[in-house]
Amino acid sequence: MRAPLDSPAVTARALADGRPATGRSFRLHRPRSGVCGNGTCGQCGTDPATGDALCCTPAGAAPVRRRDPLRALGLPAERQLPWFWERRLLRPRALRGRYLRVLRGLSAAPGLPPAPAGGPPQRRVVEVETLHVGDPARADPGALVVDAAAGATAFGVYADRTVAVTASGELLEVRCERLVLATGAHLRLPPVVGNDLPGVLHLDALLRYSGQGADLGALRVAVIAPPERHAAVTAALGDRCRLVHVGARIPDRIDGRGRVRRIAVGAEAVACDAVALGLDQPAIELALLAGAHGVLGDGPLPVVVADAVPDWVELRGRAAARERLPGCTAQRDAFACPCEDVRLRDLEAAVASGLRDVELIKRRTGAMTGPCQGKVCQGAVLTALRDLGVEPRPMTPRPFARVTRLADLAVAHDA
Amino acid sequence: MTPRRIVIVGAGIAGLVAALEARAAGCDVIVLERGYPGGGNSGRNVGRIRRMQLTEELTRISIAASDYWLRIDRLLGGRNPLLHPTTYALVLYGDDEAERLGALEPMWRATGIDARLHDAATTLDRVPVLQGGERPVGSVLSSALLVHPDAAVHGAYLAARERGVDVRLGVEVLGFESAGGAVVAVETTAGRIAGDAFVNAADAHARGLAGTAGVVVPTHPMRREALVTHSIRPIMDQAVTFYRPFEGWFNQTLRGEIVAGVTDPDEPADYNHDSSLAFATRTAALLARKAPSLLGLHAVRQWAGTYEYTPDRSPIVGAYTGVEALYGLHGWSGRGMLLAPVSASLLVREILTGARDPLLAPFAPARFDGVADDAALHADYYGGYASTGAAS
Ligand SMILES: Cc1cc2nc3c(=O)[nH]c(=O)nc-3n(C[C@H](O)[C@H](O)[C@H](O)COP(=O)(O)OP(=O)(O)OC[C@H]3O[C@@H](n4cnc5c(N)ncnc54)[C@H](O)[C@@H]3O)c2cc1C
Repeated sequence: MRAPLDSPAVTARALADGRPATGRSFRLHRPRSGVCGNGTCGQCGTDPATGDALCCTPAGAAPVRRRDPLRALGLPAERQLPWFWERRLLRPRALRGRYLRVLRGLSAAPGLPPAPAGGPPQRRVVEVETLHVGDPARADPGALVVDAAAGATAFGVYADRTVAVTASGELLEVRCERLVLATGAHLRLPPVVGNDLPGVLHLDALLRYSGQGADLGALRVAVIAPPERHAAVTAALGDRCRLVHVGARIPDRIDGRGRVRRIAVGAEAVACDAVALGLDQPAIELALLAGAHGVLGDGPLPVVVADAVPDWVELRGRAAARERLPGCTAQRDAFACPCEDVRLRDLEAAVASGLRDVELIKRRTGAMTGPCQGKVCQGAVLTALRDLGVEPRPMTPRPFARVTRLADLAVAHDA
Repeated sequence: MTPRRIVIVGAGIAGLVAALEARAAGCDVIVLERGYPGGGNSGRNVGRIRRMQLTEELTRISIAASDYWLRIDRLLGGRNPLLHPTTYALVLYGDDEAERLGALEPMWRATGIDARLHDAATTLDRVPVLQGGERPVGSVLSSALLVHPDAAVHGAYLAARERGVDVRLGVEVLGFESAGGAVVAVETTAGRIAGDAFVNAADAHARGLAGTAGVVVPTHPMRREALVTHSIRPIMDQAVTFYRPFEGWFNQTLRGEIVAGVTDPDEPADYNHDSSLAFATRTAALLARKAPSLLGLHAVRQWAGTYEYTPDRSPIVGAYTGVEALYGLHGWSGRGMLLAPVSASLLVREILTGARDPLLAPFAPARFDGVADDAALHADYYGGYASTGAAS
């Protein structure tokens, strides 16, 4: 992640302008927008000049591609299973190589970002008592603070309590006695149809866009969040945008073409341009890398929580929260994993084909293997699998907890 | 007596293909897997299938192995493992390397493969991703294939189930039980399972399992790490490998990700699936040196697997000595995706007919009888061949 923005991000401006779609999905070429606002979800697309997420790129600094001529190919693919290629498209043996080349060329992937100028990062080994990652307001005095807003990112916890951090031209290997994680939360995607429409975003992202000074005054926003957050949301956003709905009930559907147009909550239909979801999946990746066990929690909308957290690691704030989220009826056509365009019905088909292990289903469908590495989708995928009778074992935690530019890792080695 | 009931340990690509072949030959087949299919190295690799090898024996079986992959979809019930063409580019940075490999050209010609030594200019022209990096002295380029490992393993697993192979997941084999000089059963976490023939396809764990039947195989596990970046449009069509200053490799997957890795010459022989920071920084640093245009890419995930090395870096396929009805199908030394399927097929034929295919002749377990169990030769790639006199 790059340094913080003091002006609206590409995605913030796009949302404010009523044309939130800045990216497209990998397989189906569906339009997508900035869901997380902090570079973790991979939905908004990347700046071709830097390879950075558009939600971390100031508006005006990167072009936004609005048209996707390949969406026409995504449409028929919507009816296929993720492994459609296995028996249909690719049968003519002699053409196989060329078919694949064509398929590969059709993907919505960005081009090769240019290699950044500048020398290799300096490697520095730091020994500290307490390392604090995340919200500096929650840090104990004396702790070394890794703050994303200051351009520092912790991307891994390795052996010997070593936390790897990239920060302005340096790669820090921090050996710590104690690791405090105030890393906040990701979106817990609710399994309703339309959950991937541009304009559906994490409440945190909307607050971030507002903080960047995006002019959201004309934006009609529906907020869905647990009741105890409603007052704070209204206070923070009431005069920044048009709050057309603040409720705890998850919409029965989110409608629109190319972007959100309205939500249906029971008998009520609310016209809106954005749906801000205050549904948090605690950001526990670093705790899992440090040795905690991920388990699927309970409640109507379960999230993955950290269990058996090692005694030298502490989760704080929303990363530690065990909020009870409102539930909804899972819909087969909703997306469970937007990175790889996997719907609940695809998971159902994988289970029906006889796969009973999360790891097998993950590899079969691609669920949880995209750029977000399960941060946004794991709760939705595991809940769906649990409901299908599969043991919801979370995936093996691996670095990188945040995507990390190779240039930022390429420290000078002796050999 | 022709064995009727075959028990296979391990549901990786080796065990699953052996199971499908034995089933096709009419046997009752049980596959025992302690985790899930592909949970071993068949789900941790990058699927390079190449004919070019440094010894004639390996080259010959690799040619057969590549041909086997080209028609494997039938065995997989018509499923396509996403096999697609690539160029295997062994990039050379030392004059000694060029000399050593130049001497192998006649062997490659004689075996009919298209591997050729090229000079620096041709290398940079044919492998443009190297432009801007350290200037190579040359390369050996040859046509090769990439397979999608998960597609292959899933295809094999689903086909095995369709054909009536009894694949039992979550069952760990604890050891072999012998009687009268022959293995008669396996002891497992789900009880004792008897059979007529037993195939040890447990990869890096094969050594320990063979030991329970009193068989000594001098293999060593070695961690191999890899990392993967986000997807980008196709930028390269080659699978690059180099061995100077130490081993490194990278290529682009069908999904557009770049997968890459380097080895640590000081990596201890051990089972270890942890991801290390040193690996991540070394890999990035080596790419900075060899293919600096890739440095703007973002790494998404890293992982680790194991190579099971044999002293001569060639597999162990066939009946173990000293005990009947127990067969080894392992020791891939980093090439199991390539070699396991054809080896499994030839081994099954051997188990059922008693006739050994000439392709397998160099890979009998018996060649290690009495060989010192020495883990010292892994660090240098070419040295591994030189020390056994296998490569010139
Ligand atoms: C990073 C990396 C890259 C690689 N790249 C390539 C490549 O490009 N090309 C190539 O050809 N090869 C490559 N390889 C090597 C290749 O992955 C392996 O050689 C191959 O997968 C071996 O297949 P297998 O079926 O023998 O073993 P595995 O897939 O490891 O299967 C063995 C199975 O046995 C099971 N098992 C073990 N012990 C027991 C027990 N006691 N009871 C029950 N089950 C047990 C395990 O759980 C496992 O599932 C690579 C390996 C790594 C790590």
